[in-house]
Amino acid sequence: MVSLAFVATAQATTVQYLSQHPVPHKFGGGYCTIDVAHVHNYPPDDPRMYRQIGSQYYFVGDPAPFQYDGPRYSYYGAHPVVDAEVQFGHPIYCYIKGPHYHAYQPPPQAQFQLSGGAYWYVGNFPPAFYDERPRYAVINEAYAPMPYARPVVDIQVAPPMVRAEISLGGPGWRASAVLGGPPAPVYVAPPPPPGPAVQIGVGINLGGPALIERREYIEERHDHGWHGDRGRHEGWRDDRHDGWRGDHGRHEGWREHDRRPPPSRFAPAHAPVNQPLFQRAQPQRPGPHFAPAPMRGPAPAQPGHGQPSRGPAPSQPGRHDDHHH
Amino acid sequence: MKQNQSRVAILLLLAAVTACGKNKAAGASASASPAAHVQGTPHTDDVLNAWRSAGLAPEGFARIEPAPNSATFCEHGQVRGVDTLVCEYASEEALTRGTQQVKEGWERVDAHTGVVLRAKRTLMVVVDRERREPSGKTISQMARVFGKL
Repeated sequence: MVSLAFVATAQATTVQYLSQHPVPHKFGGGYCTIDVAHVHNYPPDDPRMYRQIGSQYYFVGDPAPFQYDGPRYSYYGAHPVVDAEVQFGHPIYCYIKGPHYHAYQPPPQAQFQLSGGAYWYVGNFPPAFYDERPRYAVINEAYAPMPYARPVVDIQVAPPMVRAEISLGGPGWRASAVLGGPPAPVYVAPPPPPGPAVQIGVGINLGGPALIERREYIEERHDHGWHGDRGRHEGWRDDRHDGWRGDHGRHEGWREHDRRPPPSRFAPAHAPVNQPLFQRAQPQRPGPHFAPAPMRGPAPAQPGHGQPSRGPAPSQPGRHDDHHH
Repeated sequence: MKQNQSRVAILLLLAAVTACGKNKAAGASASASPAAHVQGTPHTDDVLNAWRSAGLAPEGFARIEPAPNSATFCEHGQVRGVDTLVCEYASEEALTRGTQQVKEGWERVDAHTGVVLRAKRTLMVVVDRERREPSGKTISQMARVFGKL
């Protein structure tokens, strides 16, 4: 009996988790769906995807690559973590760039806007967001080698306050299309697995087989002169179509502009909507070229664009001005 | 052998809040007599019935003797193979002490998963030592139902 007790007490490791999280591969992989505080006998597989709050770990990443089959909500860009199941002592932020999923939906009072198939944070980021960014933006490097379907987001219907920051003439955030060139498949991210998942997203229909998609968005957040690296244009880019990489440069962004076949994480599929995502630009001279697409207003409930959701975030007209002060 | 280890592990943990093991037989007989449930907090029966209503299948739950100055009424059993303890406490102090003892007990039990959760002055302790459900779906469902009591 004593020896049995010794066996039971040996090698005990206790790690506290605040909510759901991936299970390390060597412990079977998958996703732990316990959304209350609990303990396991293993540490996080990749600490870059976690925030440590006291002695507890909170998973701030995208659950999609980890066989997660619960409800999922699409987000675009960085935002405060608004997981209603968890109370933090202070705000924490998700620094994932571009489209991604979370298991939680923003509460109605949070400053998010549902547009183009994703929730966009349209509130102000406090200085702490920028202060912590160098430390926590490494989460993008953690996801870089993971092949999985990100949500499809129509970036041309970004919320007005985000569009206001778009600069077509310089560093900014753009989307465009080119007409001409060899045929290319229209590809959209495959749908999430069946089940109770709530898919928020839009399909892409470029309107013809000869249309080459060029998607380029470089996010620029002005930092209102607080300090540090503010005013830089951080983001992530993919010039190679075969993965993600951060270049830590001043004009980082996500790019997708060569004509090689789509990466394996994209599955050729019929677009579920009929409206073109990108406007066709009239070529000024022979051969492909890129032209900025006109911006469209926000349309949280566009017929054909909006997929089933649990309701768009309420629009808050006052937020536009707030963001620039 | 593995079952024995698991049994010892759970007993080590349960010992934090109960005087289980040596008194379980006595507890079983005590369960036949009118038990002193704690008023103003969900009873163990309420918890088990709620789990049953949610499609979970609590099995083998029997009253066990709480440790002195700890819980007032406890039952131990399994839900889909996961060891579970439900206890009622007469005071906040006793509940806080019991919760703390369970958390300290995690260090002694090499459990794959452990959860301690309260609803008013009723405590739910779950230990999955044999990785019966790495995804935690049963535990998550138990916690969700328990949290609504």
